[in-house]
Amino acid sequence: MKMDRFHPADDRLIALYFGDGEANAEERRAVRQHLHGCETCTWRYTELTAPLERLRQDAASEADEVFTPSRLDAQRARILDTLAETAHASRVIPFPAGTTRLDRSVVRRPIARWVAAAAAAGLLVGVMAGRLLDTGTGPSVSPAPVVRSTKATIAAPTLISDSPMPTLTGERDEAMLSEIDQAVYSQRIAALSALDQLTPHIRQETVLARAIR
Amino acid sequence: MQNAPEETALSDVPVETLPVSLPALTRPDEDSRIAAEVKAFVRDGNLAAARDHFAALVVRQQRRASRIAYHFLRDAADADEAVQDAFVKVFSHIESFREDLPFEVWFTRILINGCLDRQKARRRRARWMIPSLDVEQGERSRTESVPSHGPSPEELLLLRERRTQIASAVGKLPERQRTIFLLCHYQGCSSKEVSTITGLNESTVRVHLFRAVRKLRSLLGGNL
Repeated sequence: MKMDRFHPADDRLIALYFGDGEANAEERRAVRQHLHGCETCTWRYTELTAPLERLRQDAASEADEVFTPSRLDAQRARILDTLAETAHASRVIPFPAGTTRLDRSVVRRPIARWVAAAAAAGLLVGVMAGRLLDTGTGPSVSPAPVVRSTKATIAAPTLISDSPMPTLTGERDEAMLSEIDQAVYSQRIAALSALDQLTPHIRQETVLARAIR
Repeated sequence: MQNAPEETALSDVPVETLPVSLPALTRPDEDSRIAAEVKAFVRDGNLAAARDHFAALVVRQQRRASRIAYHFLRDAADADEAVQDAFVKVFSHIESFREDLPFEVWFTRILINGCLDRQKARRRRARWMIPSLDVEQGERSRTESVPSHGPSPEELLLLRERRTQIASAVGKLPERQRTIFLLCHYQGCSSKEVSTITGLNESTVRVHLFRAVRKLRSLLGGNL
């Protein structure tokens, strides 16, 4: 009713052209009714939508000129070949039984290598910690001069001598770990740590051999 | 809704799944019926029969898919590969196809995501690499592909120019507007279908479509 008096805007005419679905169906019906009785708007509608329609048809024919029937045949053949190849490959991979697991282990080898490297690094730190512990507890092992010189207050001699298997206090623990951190992560050692990780250590090997025994 | 964010790429939406909210089909279309058969054959391990049925599906969807890919990528070889990849991907993921949903929508979504990925890869290449001869050759083969019979050389030249202008204008549209324009206008998809393909709601689809048309009219002026 309103539409009869007011000419619809361009957007509404374009909406009518693209119109689909239930949304705004009532509005589209009103615009359509208006167009039946208004020559000016019918002309405007054609002016607006004819180029769009031409654009659509041209786009389709442009693509069809490129994708000729022979090209589509070739494309289809390639698709089906790929599918056949994929099916072939999937039949071969699981044979013989149990290969899958082996394959996975091969694929994961680089990760395993990293895990081994991390374990070796951990072991190194552990061994160093062990060494430092030994220096504090055992009179038979000569104490490491660096540790002694930097932190004179690390170990109370009475405490150590009182018990053959001393339990470290939280304070001493912290101090010792910071010493280890300092030792391991100091610039000089960090630069060599990669090389160190690759090198078998006599002490490390001995500890392992003892553990196995 | 009017100011829907542009930055989320359509390809960020998972490819193989469709929104759960998609309305079920009252009567499955022919393509969906064939796809359901392919799925059943794959499930039974009868891959040969699955491939045979899938070939029929390829025949039915191929031309439409090639048009879509070509309009997105504007390169015949690239479009060819995108279509091929989409079909192979559909076959390998056929078990995730829902029989009660339109196959065409599912397939188009996979195809478009592939096209968008290719466009992104192409932009990355263009940023970091010196343009190769292949691009120029591709350009030449595209223009040479227009048949020599029929229109006169002048008409052909004009047609080529017009197409280049239109392609350039469509290429200037933001990703969402371009996708929606190509699907709604070039492929005649309903806003409901495009809504399902893109994951946007119907009114947002319409807003993007009108914006795209408005922008194209301003870019092309009398050439539209």
